Amino acid sequence: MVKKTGKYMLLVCALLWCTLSFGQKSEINASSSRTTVGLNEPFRVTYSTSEGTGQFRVPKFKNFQVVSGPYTSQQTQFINGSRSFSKKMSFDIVATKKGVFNLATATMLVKGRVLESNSLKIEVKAEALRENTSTKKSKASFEVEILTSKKSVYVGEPLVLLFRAVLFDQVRDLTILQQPNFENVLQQQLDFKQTSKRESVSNRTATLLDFDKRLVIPNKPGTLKGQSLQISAKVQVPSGRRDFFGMPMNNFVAKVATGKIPSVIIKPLPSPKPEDYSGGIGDLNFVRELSRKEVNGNESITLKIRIEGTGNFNTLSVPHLVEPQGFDVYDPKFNENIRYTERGVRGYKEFEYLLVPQFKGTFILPEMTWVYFNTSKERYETITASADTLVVVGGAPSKTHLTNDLGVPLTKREVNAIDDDIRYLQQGEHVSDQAYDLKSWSWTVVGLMLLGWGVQVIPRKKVKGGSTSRKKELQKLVETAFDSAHENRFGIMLNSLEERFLELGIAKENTSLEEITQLLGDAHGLAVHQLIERCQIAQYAPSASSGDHELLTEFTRLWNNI
Amino acid sequence: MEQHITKLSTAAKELYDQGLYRKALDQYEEIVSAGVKDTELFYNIGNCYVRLEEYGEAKLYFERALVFDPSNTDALHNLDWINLRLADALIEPSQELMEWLSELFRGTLPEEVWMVVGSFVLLFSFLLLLWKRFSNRKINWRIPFTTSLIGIVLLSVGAISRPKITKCIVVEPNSYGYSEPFAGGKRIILLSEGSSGKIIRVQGGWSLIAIGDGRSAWFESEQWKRIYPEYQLK
Repeated sequence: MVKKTGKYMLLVCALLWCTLSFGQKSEINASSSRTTVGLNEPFRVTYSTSEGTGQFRVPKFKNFQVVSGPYTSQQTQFINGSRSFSKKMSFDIVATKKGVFNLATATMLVKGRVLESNSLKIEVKAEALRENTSTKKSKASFEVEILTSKKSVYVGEPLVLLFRAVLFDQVRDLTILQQPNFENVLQQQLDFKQTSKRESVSNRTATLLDFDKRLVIPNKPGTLKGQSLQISAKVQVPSGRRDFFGMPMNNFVAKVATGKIPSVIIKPLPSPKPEDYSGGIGDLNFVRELSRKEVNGNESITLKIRIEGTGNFNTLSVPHLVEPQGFDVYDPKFNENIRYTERGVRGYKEFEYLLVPQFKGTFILPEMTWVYFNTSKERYETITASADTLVVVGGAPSKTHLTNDLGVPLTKREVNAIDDDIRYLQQGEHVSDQAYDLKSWSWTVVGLMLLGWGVQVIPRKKVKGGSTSRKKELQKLVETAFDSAHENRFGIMLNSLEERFLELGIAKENTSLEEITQLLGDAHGLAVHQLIERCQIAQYAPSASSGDHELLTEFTRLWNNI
Repeated sequence: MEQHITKLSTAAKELYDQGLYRKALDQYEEIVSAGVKDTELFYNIGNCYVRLEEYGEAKLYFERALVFDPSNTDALHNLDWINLRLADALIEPSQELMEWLSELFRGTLPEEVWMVVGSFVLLFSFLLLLWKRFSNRKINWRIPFTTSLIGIVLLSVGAISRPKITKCIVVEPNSYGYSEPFAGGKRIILLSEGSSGKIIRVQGGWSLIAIGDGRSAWFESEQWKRIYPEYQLK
């Protein structure tokens, strides 16, 4: 009994071991339809496993691109009572680079274990070296091309790319594998409805399918080239077999076609650019709109500054308002309506300002200019919004309602400089600097002044001639007095004699005979002294005098010698 | 001559109004070469240079306009306007006492007026002295002495008013300052157009110039112009 039990135990262990061993053989098998392929030549990679549970984790096909797939299939078979299971996952892929590449492994998580596929080595050559008959048959089944709206554009000028497939045979599952990816270019897909038409191409009837349109706006000068559009499609080819009814059977094989963009020259904007060039390019218009020009103090004005038309709306900016004096200007509201069309980016961008008057009066809304490059005229254009006059009337704004006793507003307007500039020319009479020689003139007058002081040190001479005129005056005075029989004629004669002696240095009280004779000599002095005495007597006793005529004659004779 | 100058001045103004600043400048330069030196002329030349965006030359001429009339408010305004636009944040060189006095006197009265009035007072003193000497009328000596003194003082003020300014200005886009007066020297300062300094010494095409912050360096003389007198630094 114990032996039997031991045998059963051994059998169970053997079965368990076999089961475990069999389980460990669960694996993922990777296979490829081709190991040597050409560029853009589709081939199929298949991952298969016998494990029923778990999900494939497909690797990223680096240097390859999935054309179609994944295609999955499961198969369960019972043969002689034994069950077998297989699961497959397939991809049609194409190589994007030349070289030898190892496809990464696929994995699957099964009951906590990670199953990993084998690695596949794929050699990629420039062109396909061998093709099967079905592939050869499908070689020219379709083509792809990129059509450009212009051969040369300015920086910022829009360009439309049309993606067109030329179908010679029946194809399906048209897929874009790779689309042009330009640097320094804004690319925008346009709303576009696919169109097709039949035409003869290279003596073959083909369907032209326009399947996509792109708007391209270059940002830098250069040449737009080198980029390609790659599409894949499944092409119907005969399989060489017939169906139950004897009809030929077809297969669909993946095919890739590549089209390159024709060279487009991107020209820089002409130089020199105007100083105030805004960056706008296209066919644009600059508008400044006022809701009204005359407003009450308690109302407001809406002012819109708008750029409209067709142009580079993605990069251009609307100029800010040159603010008028006398208004509160609130932060603007920005409005935009832009559409991407075949003619470029159309629409408008605008700032909407609210102007609230601060004070009554007439205010100038300054002129504004905007410079852009007109691509149709190929030149810079300046659009000017001329200065407007805004009148604030009636219903005075609240700020000026409050006034002091003199009627002057309590709140005053802050006067800010609008701009700064140098002042205008001065006008005046220009005088030649060579007209005067002040330096030598100054030295001359200094010399004269010194000369004047020098003259002062020269000793002063006695000048007699100075008293001559006075002497004559006195003589004439005496003669006049005697001629007119003046009652004081003797006093006048006496005074004249005394003045004369005073001039000669003899004071009135010293007119003694001694002094006079010392000055004039004995005889002459005596005669003069007698004349003085006779005058004194005649002055106090006119009747005692010898006579006017004699006295005057004597005076005249002596006077000339004094 | 005066008519010719007036004609040139009118033509220059018309050209300026038409925006032909270079041609207007040529007309004004012709007036200068005719021997005219006044504040309006230098001010107008400065304006032409501003419009031509040659701020170094413009500053030079506004400074010259202020030499002739330190109270020319238009020139002061335009000079401030230019100084705001100059590249270098540099302190202006300080004024010496005599320069300050000179500007003060010129601001009160033009140099010519000081000289003429002083000369007439001295002439009057001379006549007083003659009269004192040769007339019988007695004149106190203190009177001609006082007038002589006043005349001398007025002439001295006139002489001080005569501008002798050592300030000079960079008129090229920029000017390198070297440690030694030759191009092989070490570059120690770089000044931009319109910066000003004070001439310390001139030597063979190089000028030792002190800038407002006290530093000094040798600069190529042809890149600088002296404010007044306006001869080229040599």
